[in-house]
Amino acid sequence: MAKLLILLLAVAIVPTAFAGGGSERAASATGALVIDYAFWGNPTAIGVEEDIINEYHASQSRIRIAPVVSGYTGYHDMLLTQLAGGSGPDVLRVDSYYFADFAELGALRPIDDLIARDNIDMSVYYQLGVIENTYEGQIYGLPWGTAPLYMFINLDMFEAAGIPVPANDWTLDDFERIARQLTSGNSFGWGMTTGNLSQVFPFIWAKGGDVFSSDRSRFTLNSNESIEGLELLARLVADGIVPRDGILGDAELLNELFVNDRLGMRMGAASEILSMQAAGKRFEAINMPTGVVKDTTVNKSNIIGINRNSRNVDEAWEFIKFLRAPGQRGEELYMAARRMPPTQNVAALWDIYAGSGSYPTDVRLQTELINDQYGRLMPLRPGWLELENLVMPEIQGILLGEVSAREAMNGIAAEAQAILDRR
Amino acid sequence: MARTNRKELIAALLFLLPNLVGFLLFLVGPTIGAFLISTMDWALINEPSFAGLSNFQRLISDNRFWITLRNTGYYVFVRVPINVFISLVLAVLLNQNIRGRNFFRTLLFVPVVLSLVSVAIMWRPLVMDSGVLNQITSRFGIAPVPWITSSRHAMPTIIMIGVWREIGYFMVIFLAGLQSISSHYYEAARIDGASGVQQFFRITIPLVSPTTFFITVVAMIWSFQIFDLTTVLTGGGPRNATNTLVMYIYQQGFQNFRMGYASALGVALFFIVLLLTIVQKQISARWVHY
Repeated sequence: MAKLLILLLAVAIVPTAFAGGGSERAASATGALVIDYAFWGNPTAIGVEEDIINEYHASQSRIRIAPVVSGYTGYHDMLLTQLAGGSGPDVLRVDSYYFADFAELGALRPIDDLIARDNIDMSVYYQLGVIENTYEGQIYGLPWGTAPLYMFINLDMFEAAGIPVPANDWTLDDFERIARQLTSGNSFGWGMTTGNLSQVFPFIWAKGGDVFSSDRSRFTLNSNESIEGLELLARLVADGIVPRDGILGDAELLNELFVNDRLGMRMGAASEILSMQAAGKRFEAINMPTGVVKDTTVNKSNIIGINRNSRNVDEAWEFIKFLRAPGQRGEELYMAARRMPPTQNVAALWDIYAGSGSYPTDVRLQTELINDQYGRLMPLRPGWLELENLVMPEIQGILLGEVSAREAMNGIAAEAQAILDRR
Repeated sequence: MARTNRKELIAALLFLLPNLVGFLLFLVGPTIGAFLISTMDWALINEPSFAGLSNFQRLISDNRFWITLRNTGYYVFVRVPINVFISLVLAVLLNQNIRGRNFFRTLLFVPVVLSLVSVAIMWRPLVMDSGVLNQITSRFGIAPVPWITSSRHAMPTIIMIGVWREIGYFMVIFLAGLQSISSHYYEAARIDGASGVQQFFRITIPLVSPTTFFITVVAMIWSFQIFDLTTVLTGGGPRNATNTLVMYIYQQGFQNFRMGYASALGVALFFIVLLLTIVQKQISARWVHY
């Protein structure tokens, strides 16, 4: 009986012991080296990535790509857990919010040497994307998804109210006037969430404020200028211009209101354009209102880099080049899927992305205007998420009228400064 | 040891082994790991360094730890008694020979099989400012209630949903407890002229007390773990009003890159739950009748 049990246990345990070596076994079976590529996405986005991976497989036989996929929520937790265990994917996409922490803590391999070796022309990229992939003078990845957070204009609501699409130099006063004009009954002029600071930056910047001093060492959300920006938003919520449900909600809720002509203006990512087009929505995508400065539109870029512990650096780099390097097939495939505008300043890519002629009418012009004049990168730095976790609940309180902007920001200033000093 | 006994011992150990291995690997191991990590400064993707008790010192002066502990305590100490009381009342009602008894039992149990994330997504359209509940109350001239968009109302709303979600589970446990009470007690009480209320308080409550104790302990431990519902429904807001201790542990570990401190918070939670369970066990001697 005992022998039988031992035999049964051995049979159960042996496959488990070998489970961790799946990639290497696959590699030896096909003669190709398998590398892991981690990315986030919804089912549509994952489908696009799979198409690109399939095309990469068709283009060569030496390297096979094993996708490591998750929805955005939980994606970076998964990465952190894998990296903590000493493993992790060879190639990984990292959101810019996490990038500085990942770079500082040594999760990513600098790729300046690889860029120089293979003469990658970094000037082809929109430079905001390259800056967002650089930490303390070293480049850690090639840009992915460089795009503004546009102001989406609901053309049906604007036309019904007799309001023309704002010009690019529109101001905060114009914005507030239009938002009030668009508000009536169950319809709102402006919608926002409090998921992260990107939603409030345009208003703080337009008033001349910022979250940090220019060297990113001092907390300045309690400055008079920043407070003015927050007070403007609180006033809009108090006056019923902004749906309160959105404050604790997500972009999906605002998208639903927008598509159903109950929301006149909202801030949104390039990746949302496709879903609104699919819904048949008539809309424009422009820059955010200006103020004492013009560059008030948040511009953002994520990165695709190499795990510092990867044993397959050359193969990982080969794949990254296919995905992101100028003149390679990857960017064309992303453009054909039309999930994000080009990260490279190449007319042919824009032709693929914006060729359908549907709304927004001139996304290339607006995007390039934002990239050149109206866009600004968030002052991301190590400790960013810790700071957001401290600041955003207070901003919720301000917007929902539970605390004044000055009281809230002064109340957390010392703790926020401590985070900056520590990191 | 006799040869037969040794064989039996080996066989018994082998039968126990799969469960024991799982218990050691996935419960004891991580628990010891959490205690060790709590003495370290570790950002998950760098090399950990020994930090002694500094994480625990920080915890004492961390304002948000106390806020999240207060929120968690609010949730636990309001929700658990409500849950126990309503579950017991429903169990007593559905233990009677009433029409549609099985239908109501099933109906009340349905929320238990839903994931908390689904529950949160399902309730959101009901409790939004423009949601169904406010639309209904407005027809009766009642002013809209900011169910989740005010610090004052958000936690009671979460408690309401939490109670709704688990009431069926506790009701079933109570039903099992009620059905184990011999009908002789009730017959004797009726012969002695005891009213229904007297029977409930003098027979049902004392004899179901072991079940009540079990449910109280389980509901308390589960309530301390509240995470999914608040994460999806309110994100811990507004203004940290529904930010709970487990959410804070997650934020510290995976967003603030402070796994050492997150583990110290986890250890603190462990001891809080342990202490309360011991207190419950001590007090139970006075009111639980086995």
